[in-house]
Amino acid sequence: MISVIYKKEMLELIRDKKTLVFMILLPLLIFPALFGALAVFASHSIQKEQTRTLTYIVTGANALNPVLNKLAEQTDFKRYQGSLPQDIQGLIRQQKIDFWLDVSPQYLQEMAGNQQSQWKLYFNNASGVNSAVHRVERIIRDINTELTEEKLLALGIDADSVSGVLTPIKLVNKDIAKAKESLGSKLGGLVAYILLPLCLLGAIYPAVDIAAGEKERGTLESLLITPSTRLDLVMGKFLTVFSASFISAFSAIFSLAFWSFIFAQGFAIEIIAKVVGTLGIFDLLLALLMMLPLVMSVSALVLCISIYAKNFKEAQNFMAPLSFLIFVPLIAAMMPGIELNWQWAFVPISNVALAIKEILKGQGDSMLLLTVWSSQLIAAIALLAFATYWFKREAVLFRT
Amino acid sequence: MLRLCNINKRFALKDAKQSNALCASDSRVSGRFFYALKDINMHCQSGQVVALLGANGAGKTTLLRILSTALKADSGEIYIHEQSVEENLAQYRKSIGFLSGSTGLYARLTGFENLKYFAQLYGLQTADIEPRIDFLVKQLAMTSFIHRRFDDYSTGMKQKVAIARAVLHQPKWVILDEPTTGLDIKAREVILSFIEKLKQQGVGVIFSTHDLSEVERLCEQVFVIDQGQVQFSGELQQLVAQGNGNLYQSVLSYMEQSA
Repeated sequence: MISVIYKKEMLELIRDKKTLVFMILLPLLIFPALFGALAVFASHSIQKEQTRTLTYIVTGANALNPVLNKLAEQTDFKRYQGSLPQDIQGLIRQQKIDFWLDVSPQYLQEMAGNQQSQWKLYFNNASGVNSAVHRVERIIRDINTELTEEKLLALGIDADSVSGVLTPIKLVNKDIAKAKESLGSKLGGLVAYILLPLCLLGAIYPAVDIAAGEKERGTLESLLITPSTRLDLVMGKFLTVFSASFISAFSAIFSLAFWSFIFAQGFAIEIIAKVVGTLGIFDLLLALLMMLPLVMSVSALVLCISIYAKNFKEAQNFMAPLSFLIFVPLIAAMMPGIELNWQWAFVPISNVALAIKEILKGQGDSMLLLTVWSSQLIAAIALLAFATYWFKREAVLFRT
Repeated sequence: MLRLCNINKRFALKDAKQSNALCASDSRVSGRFFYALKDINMHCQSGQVVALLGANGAGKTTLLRILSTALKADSGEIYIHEQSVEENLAQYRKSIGFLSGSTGLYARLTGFENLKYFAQLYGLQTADIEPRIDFLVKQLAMTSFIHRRFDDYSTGMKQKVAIARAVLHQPKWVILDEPTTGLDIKAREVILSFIEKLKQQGVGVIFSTHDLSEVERLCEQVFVIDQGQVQFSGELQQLVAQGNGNLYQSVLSYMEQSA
């Protein structure tokens, strides 16, 4: 009987355009397309800013100042050709020049006396992406290195000892964490953070439709008077919500892999290629398996809420705070230093997010992972039992 | 035989405000409860068509919903062939068909898919489902639209499929809540003729209606309910006789008695 109910509910869901959008289209196309477009747009903007020709003005530098030659050598720097106005900063505001370098007029004397020369760099970084500072700093760093070497040589220090004088101790960092471990730690929390809301999104609409929606449309009564048991009815509906939720999550994973491949090939976004290559398909599947009882719990919970709601609108109102509530344990799991242990293993949602982190790091303790999996499964069964109890209560089914 | 003994049903009111508001207009409100049915006793003979008459809010729908098992009585018992329904719930549900005020069918399925789904829920054998649906499609003149989506149907079409759903599993009793309300003359005639056919087949029909011509045409037995209590129970002729041949006057007098 459960399969009959399940098949009918799925058929109805598939015929509903709204469900298809939430369950398939959003995770499969719309989210990745949005995130992908955002990544491409950001990447292009940064690249464009870093390669565009910067127009500049240098004041206070005489012909012997090395900065003039250095800037002139750069193909992506162009000296401002117009006459110098009183208000040079105004030219920056009008976007006629990108930066103004005001060199100390006493530069040569300061160098001769081994004194520090202070130069001022004027620019406008209101947009947050102005690359003038970094690009000028790079040139000044080169000049500084050359000048330092010259001065040290003049003081009788040979070229081989320059680095020893400038930086007596150099710290060489050797991180023994494997790439997978490091990446898993960074992305582990994020996987649940992305997937769980998708699961919830995939579960909410079907749950509202097949419980509160049935009440509103008056079809529930026809169902209640059939010889099917209430457990059969709840199980049929639960499996539908669970399937929708899981299909939603699965679509997200599939589309993440697919679009990552497309972007990595087409746009050479190294970071995405690195993520896919490092994590591997097996661990992604294991993460999916860890999500299974959590998706069951979420499905049972939204079904409980929907059974209680009087109508579609009330069910949707009840669901809204739920979306916020699940983010709290997810954010907790993303905090630095929070790791899966015996205390966290019993905190719903956080435990699964932390377990996924461990799996992706390749460090999962099998006992802990099993505990997380079973505790979440027990929670799902308890919620399902509660949904069945509510489905037997006239006061809940016919709330007015 | 279907027998109802001392059926009582009350509904909890939302709050004191609702209670006070209703208390002034309805004597059935007491404290935080609305007493919808009080000590209902009924006997319905198998194969008879029984009418349930009464004003809006009299308690007819609540009584029919209790008979259908959608609602549970707070006290009292229902017996079918002297067996308690409570003790044989699944069996009883197979022996009754119920048409509620709404059609109770799924808009995104076709009429055929709706009927097939309920046939499966009522435990019909797979091989028997399609022939049974075909039979009902012909009986209720649904051939032209049965494979169209239910949300494209007119009111009459919906009601025909809903009635087919109620009798799909060949129940011994069919309970209909105002089956002809809102229908055009043609659709109404199809449904009334169908009730006559059910009667000929020995199926008992209990239905609520406000149309006394339907009662005169179909019924042997009548119950008049008012204020949640049975005011009259007996043969149709008896009721007509009490109104000196005028059924309308007679029914009205029972409603006025309790007013």
